[in-house]
Amino acid sequence: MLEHLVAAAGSVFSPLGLLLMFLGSLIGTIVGALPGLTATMAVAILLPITFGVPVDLAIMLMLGIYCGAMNGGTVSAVLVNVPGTPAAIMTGLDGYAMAQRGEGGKAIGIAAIGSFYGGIFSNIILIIFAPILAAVALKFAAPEYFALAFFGLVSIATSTTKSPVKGAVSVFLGLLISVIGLDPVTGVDRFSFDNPEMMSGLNFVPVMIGLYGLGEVLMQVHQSEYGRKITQQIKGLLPTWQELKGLHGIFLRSSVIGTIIGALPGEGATIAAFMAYTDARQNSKHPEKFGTGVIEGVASCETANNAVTGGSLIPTLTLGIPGSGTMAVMMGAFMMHNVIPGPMLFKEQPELVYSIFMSLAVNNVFMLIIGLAGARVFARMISIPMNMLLPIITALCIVGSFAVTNTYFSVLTMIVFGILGYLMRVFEFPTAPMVIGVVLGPLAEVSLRRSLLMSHGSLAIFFTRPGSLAIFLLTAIYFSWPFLKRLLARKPDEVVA
Amino acid sequence: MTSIYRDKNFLSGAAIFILSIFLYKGSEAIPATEKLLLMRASFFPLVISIGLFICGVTLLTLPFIRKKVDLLSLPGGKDMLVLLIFIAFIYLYIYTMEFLGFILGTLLYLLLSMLLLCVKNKIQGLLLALGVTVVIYFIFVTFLKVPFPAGLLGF
Amino acid sequence: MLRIGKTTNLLLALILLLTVAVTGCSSGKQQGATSGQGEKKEQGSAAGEKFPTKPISFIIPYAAGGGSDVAARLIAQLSEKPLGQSIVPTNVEGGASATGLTQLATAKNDGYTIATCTSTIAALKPQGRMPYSSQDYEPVIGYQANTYAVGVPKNSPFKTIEEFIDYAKKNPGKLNVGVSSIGSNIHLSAVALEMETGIKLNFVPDPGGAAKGILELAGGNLDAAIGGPNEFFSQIQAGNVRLLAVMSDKRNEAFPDVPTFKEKGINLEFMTIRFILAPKGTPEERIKILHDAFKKGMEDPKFKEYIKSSGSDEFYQDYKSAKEYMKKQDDYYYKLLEKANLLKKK
Repeated sequence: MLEHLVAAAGSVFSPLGLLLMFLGSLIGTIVGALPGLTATMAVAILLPITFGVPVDLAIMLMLGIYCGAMNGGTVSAVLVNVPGTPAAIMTGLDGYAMAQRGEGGKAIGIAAIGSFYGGIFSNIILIIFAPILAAVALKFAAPEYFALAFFGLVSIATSTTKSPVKGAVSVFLGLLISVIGLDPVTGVDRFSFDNPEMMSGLNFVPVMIGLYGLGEVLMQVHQSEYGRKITQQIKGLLPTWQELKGLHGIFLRSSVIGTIIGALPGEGATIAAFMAYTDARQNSKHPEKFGTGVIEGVASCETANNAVTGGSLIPTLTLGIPGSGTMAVMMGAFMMHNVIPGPMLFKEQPELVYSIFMSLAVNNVFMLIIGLAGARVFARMISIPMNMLLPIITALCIVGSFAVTNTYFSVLTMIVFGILGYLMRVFEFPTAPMVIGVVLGPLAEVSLRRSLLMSHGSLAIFFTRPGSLAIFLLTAIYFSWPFLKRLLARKPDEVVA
Repeated sequence: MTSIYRDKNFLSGAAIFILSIFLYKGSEAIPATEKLLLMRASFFPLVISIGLFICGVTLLTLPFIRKKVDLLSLPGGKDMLVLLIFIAFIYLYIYTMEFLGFILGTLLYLLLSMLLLCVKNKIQGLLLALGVTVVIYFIFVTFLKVPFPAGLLGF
Repeated sequence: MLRIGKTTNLLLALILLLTVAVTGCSSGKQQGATSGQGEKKEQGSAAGEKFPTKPISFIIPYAAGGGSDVAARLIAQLSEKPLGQSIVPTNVEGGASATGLTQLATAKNDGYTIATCTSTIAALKPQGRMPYSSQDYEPVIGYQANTYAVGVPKNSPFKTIEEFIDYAKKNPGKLNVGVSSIGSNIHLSAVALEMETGIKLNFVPDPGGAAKGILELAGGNLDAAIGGPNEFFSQIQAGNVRLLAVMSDKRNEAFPDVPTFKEKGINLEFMTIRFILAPKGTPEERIKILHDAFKKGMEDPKFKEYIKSSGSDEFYQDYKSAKEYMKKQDDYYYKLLEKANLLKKK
């Protein structure tokens, strides 16, 4: 084992290896910060270039981009409330509110530290528990996924405190978007109005860019706030030790959530961020402050979505099933180099596995450096007056949504959802539940119907399988916990400030 | 309560109510290929339409129950005009890009919109618009090979 | 904080808006991004002239990073040298390749715009997803094929494909088989299996492709799953899954022990084939030049290596035979879609 470790360290810490990872992190951060560009796209475009490169170096570059993109998505979410990647949607809630107070730099700093924590945590878990987690993931089938999606949908219902009815409308609209197109389970057409592009369903990314990017811009114009200029604090970017100490619990819980969700195959970062945010609020002493710019809000989702990076390597490496879109592309890169990810990889090529673990850790360090060093630069960037910034953001939204599919249709989608996002803001509907509805909708619907197909129509499948039964029970306990706690404890716990 | 027609909840409730009716009709029209309702392609759309119906009715009646209106505030005449022109510029930007080309179109769009939003420092605005156009062009066209239209000047 | 007062600014903006609108109208209708702004459907110039003199734009109608994207990008990269011009790939995604192929159909037929497609093209028109069929294009080359295999869990009672089919015959609709979305190639290959053997299976589709089905298969939650042989690879290595048969014409290089359906006396051959297409009416000499370049790209050792490592099959049809081949494919797909009740209702 030791010799493999040394050999792996040799390639990871070689000057070329370090340079590639740093470059990857940098490219990833830029790509992540621009709406419409995803890590999957960047990795896919670099793929042909890596044909002639040794596999471990290629993977280092790709992991760098993957980690960097998570980080970059945060930056634009915090600064202008336009999440660069779907995973950063929840970050925008509190991060943007902080930036409005001039604390944008601090929010990015906290996000970088949280991401680092989550990344390292999931990496350690990956090293120690990968085979066990893989065995658990193998037991997961449609009923368990439905139970999980059900948990997610229930948690949105409880997460909107301001106006539950409007929150529910937002969720239903999100679910509605997710059913458009040919139904994957029966092949019948739903609400596509015979438009060939809508038949394959609405692409999620332009929808998100519209709701968050253009919607926000139009709202700012509506409020005539474009003459405003927010002076960002450039000093005191680093959170204090005291603040970090207070966040420790959130870092840990969110890392666990992110790693578990990441270990299940499927695009998990958005869901993980959402669940961590809900969890942080549920366990907070001041849940009502969430959404007004609290550091816990930023820390929880950023830790979780980055913990997914390590987590999603688990199914990729151990089961040979990609854990996310980016992982699917990376798996293609593995195969092209005649490396077959899967249970045998650990036995046959331990050196490669170790170098993946190590480069993931190094990439997390780079990400922390770029995040903290960049916080200052980024904070300066939005000291540009709003009336110059708003047209620039709009142009980026248009260019970004075009780049998703290279068609005008996605630009049109973006604009329609931009106007919807604007109307939702005017009428005070929350937008985050809608996006979660879009993400969870297909998972809930397809896994419900798949389960019933498997059981030939019997609902008993959800309760006879230990996995799904356990998740349903946990859901019930988790959401009744605040009430149970009140019932059980006569006097409130001691509050330590 | 004449101001009810400008109440946020009432207006959005009415829109959602109408949407839910159309959705219900649309869901019923989806062909049923399975015996069990839960497994049909129309099951989720039906749930959504019923959910939206309940929410819509709740929002419609909310101002009557609370006996309080939550007035919708739209910007005044001139501000509203700015908003509409801002949206029109977006449309024009996309529509004319094929003809003007990416660089010229983007530059023009940025400058016009900045002008519309009353940028004070014109020099800074011009430089910024130029810089942003070049940076976007470099990242999207040169590096990522996104096929933006070339337009009359060939770039 | 509110300071819009400059009516002059507003007026100026309005005037500019008008002028932009006027010039915008004169530019005419928008075309696809790659189609350029010349008038379309103009016959290419006479024979013997030099082609190509500028880069070729190559539409990939799928998302970046997928199987079709990787194969197309690779062949484009390897064919640039023999062609003597660069081939610029662009992903135009949407409508299960209908968006990109529609763009190709309306592009100028001068040979400078081409696209890749898969056998999916045969399913688009009958399903009402695109007004064009394969016969509305000029094929350049057929360059690669992907087949599908039937896999079962390691402790499955079925040791051979015959046992599987026998059981399915006696118990129609009882076997749970994982496939990808209804109407996709993997699903249609399963319909072909039903049609050729007269069995009835219970499909459990997943929009994410074969991956989830294979995972559930490995966990013992499904009776069988259908997917690309390479998608099963790691689970076969781990001993969780066995393959019963592949649908290609000859055995897969990566799985020499797995028989084909043909060997077992079942008339089933199903492959997803990747072609390169040009718009209808593209001059034949230009098609030939393109074909020759791509043929050289196919012969590159790198491409052969890719075919092997991705578990796909070698496949080649020249520009003359491909058209006939695609016509046959269209007819077969029509039958499959009819059986699966997926034809567009008139």
